[in-house]
Amino acid sequence: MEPWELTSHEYWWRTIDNFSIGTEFRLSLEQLARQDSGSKGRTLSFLVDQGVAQMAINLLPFFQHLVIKCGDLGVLLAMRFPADDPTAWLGERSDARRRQIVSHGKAESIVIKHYPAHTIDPQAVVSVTGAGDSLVGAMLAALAQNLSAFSSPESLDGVIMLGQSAAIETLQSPFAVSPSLSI
Amino acid sequence: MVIGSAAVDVISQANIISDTDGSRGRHSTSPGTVGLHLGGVGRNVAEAAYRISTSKFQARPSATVLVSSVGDDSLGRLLLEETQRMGMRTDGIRVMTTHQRSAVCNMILNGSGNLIGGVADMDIVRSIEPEMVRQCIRIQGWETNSQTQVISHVNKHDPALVAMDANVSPDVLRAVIQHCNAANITSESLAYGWSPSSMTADIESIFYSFFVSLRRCFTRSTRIDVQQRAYFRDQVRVNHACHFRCPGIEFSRFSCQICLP
Repeated sequence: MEPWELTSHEYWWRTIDNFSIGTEFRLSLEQLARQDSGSKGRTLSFLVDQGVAQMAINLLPFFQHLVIKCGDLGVLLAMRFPADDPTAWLGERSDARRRQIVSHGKAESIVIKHYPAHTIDPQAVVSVTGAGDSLVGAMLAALAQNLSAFSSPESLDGVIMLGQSAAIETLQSPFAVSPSLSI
Repeated sequence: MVIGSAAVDVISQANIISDTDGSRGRHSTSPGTVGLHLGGVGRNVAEAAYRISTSKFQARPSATVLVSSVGDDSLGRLLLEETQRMGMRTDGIRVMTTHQRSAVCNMILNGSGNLIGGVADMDIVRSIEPEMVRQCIRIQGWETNSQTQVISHVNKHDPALVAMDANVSPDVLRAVIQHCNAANITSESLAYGWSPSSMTADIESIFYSFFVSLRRCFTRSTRIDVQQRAYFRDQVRVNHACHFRCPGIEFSRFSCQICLP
């Protein structure tokens, strides 16, 4: 096994242990997978079937926040917070209808949240080039304004909303980034 | 601050609408439209951040900096000129004096707008050197522990956020991480003791967020390795150098983001 394989780290195992992911988390994930993705009548089953959620958990020991762009299937957020971090997420619970899983472990809390893609008339799509870059750029602009924007559900909603709106603007533009973002 | 590629996209679309067997236009040119657009992941992200932060957050136009490199050629001048015309600052873009070609991505679309093929010439991205990034960061007043003159810059320009296009070389990723970390720990002394927990604690504080594209990442590979080769080689000194290696995956849509407190 290569020495930098994730699972060869004792740290990785310990951190994953600290997430205290158990039966309840898996049940919540299965519930989440049955929800509507908000796009073309598809469910969120791809999160589990393609290993997206599992991969996100595997990478979480190394990142505080993961933003996974799923194209027209929306955005998946995976985040971790130390249990003693007074974020607004501590008061949150798993809620499949709100497409979120919140797991409070003994040392860390885990948040998995899906945001449906904003809808757009397929006829209005001019070019997909740069849509994802616009999403990231807009989210960065919002984060630069408020570095703890991920720490509360409300501010996170705002960041994702801004990012997705920017992506929608760019989809309707022949440019890699829509000039309309300046308006 | 966004560190990454800046490229010119050359998009050619043929007029032919119905081409059932795809043979028309082969071994010949077809009438159609050819457009030049600015592209490159780092540049795209920087432009979007610039547009949003000036329009939605009333940030100063100079608040967004793109750190990139272009060739000393007409496409390089186009990139600089157009970036300037948008109102973005260009002092982070270096014009390479060696004979490097500006990055170009050429895409050929059929009549219905689907990609037929193309060539991406992105070699210049690798010419973004750690030293160049260090200099840019220093211009931004990032090095708090140098002269007082620089410290006055810190209060003015301290970047709140650094984003990286993972197309840049592993050396640059590493240099940026080290610099961010240095800025992170100016008031505290970091224990350089060797233990897996202290190492990974650094990594988690460094990589605040990571943006991943689903399509590129999860459907083409079953795993992502976090590579810490340098760490294993030099256990004491390099305790937070790492970069991402994704076998068989293009790096182009990855961007990792570093956040300073």
